[in-house]
Amino acid sequence: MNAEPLRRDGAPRRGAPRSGTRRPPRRGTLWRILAAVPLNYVYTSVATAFAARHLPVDPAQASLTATLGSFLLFTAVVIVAFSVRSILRLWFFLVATGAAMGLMVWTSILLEGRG
Amino acid sequence: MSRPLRRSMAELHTWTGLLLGWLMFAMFTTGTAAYFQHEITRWMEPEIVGRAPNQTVAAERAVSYLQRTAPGAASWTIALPDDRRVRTEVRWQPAEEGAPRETRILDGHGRGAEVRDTRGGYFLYRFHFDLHYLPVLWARYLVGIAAMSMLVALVSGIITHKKIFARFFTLSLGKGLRSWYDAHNITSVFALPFFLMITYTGLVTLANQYMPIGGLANYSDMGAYFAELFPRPQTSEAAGEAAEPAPIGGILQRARGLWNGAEVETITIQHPGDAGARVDVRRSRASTVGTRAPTLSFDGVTGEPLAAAARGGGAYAVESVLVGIHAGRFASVGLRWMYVLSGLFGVAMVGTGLVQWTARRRTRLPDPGRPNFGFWLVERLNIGAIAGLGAGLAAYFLANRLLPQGLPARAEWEVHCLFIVWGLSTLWALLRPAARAWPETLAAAALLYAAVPVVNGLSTSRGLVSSLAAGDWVFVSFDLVMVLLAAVYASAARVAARKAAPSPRTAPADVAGLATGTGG
Repeated sequence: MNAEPLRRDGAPRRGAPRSGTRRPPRRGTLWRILAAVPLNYVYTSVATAFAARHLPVDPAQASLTATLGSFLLFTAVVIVAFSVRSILRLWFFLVATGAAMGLMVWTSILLEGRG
Repeated sequence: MSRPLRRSMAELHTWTGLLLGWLMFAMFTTGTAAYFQHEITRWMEPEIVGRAPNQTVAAERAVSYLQRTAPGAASWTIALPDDRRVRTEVRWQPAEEGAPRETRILDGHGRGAEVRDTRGGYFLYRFHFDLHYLPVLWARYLVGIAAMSMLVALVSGIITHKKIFARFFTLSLGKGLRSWYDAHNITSVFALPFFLMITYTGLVTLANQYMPIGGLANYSDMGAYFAELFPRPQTSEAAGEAAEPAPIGGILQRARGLWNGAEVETITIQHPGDAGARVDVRRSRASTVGTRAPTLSFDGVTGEPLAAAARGGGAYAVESVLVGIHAGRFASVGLRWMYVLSGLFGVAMVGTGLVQWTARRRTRLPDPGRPNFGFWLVERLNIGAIAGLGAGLAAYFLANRLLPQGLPARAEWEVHCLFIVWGLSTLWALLRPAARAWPETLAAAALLYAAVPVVNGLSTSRGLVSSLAAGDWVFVSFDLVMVLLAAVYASAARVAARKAAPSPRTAPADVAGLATGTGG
């Protein structure tokens, strides 16, 4: 991507080379985008379902609480996806914790059913 | 903070801000206007003059209108006037199976008003989340993606500019790139808590569409979830024999007593005139911060209150308040203007952010006269979105005054006019050199806004002078806001024209004034 070189205070650097020196795209950008959008949506959905099943309030309030929180989690995961040094490790973390929560939601629905 | 994090957050901010920036701009603009949707509707329905002395009289007049007009209907609904609305709207569902619902607007005397066909301010309110010409469901997904991008852009912007509050005091206006940069920072900082609030609560208003799994984790379908979360008043059965209805005034008085004097928003009467009649009275949403205003049910014959469906819960109350502070229906005049001012800062934040994207990249183009396609497109869409939408909204108000009364689908044509002018402005921006298209479209918008009060004065008896004489502050304010918008667009056009004109100091194509390093 081609953001202008920044000074520490974020202002555009004067006298920086202005053309012909595009930085090569950072490696892993595609993997970050995939983690930040589609994987994030699936992960946030699973986490929302997990919270909706396990919050210690009645089901309707738990569902709504989880839904209201989901947008904050989604935002946080986007920020993290573009902050971490190793995107591979983030993928591993999201898939592992997501699968664990998903499994718990699935068994809990199988055992206890839904309203 | 580490430099790589700052840089990656800056890039995230840039791209999430750009991706649906034009849609965010339109949502912020129409959403801000929607804080005055009832006042805009009043201006767009100039035939309605005068108002009922109070809600009880308005309700009694509406009931007697419905008794004359739709005595055998399955149900009546009455939307009462309040501080901001002067019209009474009555709707009824004919008893015949499959018959469409009928709607009439009543004036202050309870007579059916001959009002021009218009969607008024309500259209602007709906457009800011339903868009237009698109299936509503798709439109809402698109709007949700834009809102989510906005939230990410806000958070990443804050991380990038953690010193943004300190830098607020070292502004430099009128200096090319740095001034666009500063303009974006000022507008962003000024109402930052509002932007975070409005973006998050906007997502909350449609949360169950965007994240349905929260409900589906505990319920087999969303209907069962909603039925438990938001119980509706029950429907009643008709008894099949006529009975003298309880006076509506008494029912309203009891409802107000139970609500500490709060006003009423709507009254629904099921099986009017029947022994099984039932009256549901919904409390005004202007009377509480939360949007889920309670409804009281009464026996339509005895006038006695019926047992209410239990509802509530912590999350329910939180959601109600989150949606309530988004919509701002509770806000009185002063706070309402603060909402509008904050919304305008949001419009300016998105607008300056979009322009800054081009101002910053222009300096790095190999040949500023022949930019690459991406740059060309962003620059033109900026003109279409920022100047074009302004012109389109002015055209919407002008169409309200100029389209003939009997035109079929007149209300829809008012809306078409908005999009025709918006589309033409964008087309103009695509065909003209950008440096010329900016001042031209901005000047066109200024002219259209300036024309609104003139056309209003010529085509109705409620021009600025007579409104001033009558002390009709809604009409006076509307006309003055149009004049103000005309002035804002005209001065923007002047600034853009000055930048576009070749001068010894700056190159012709260099709107931002930076190519030769004189700015910044």
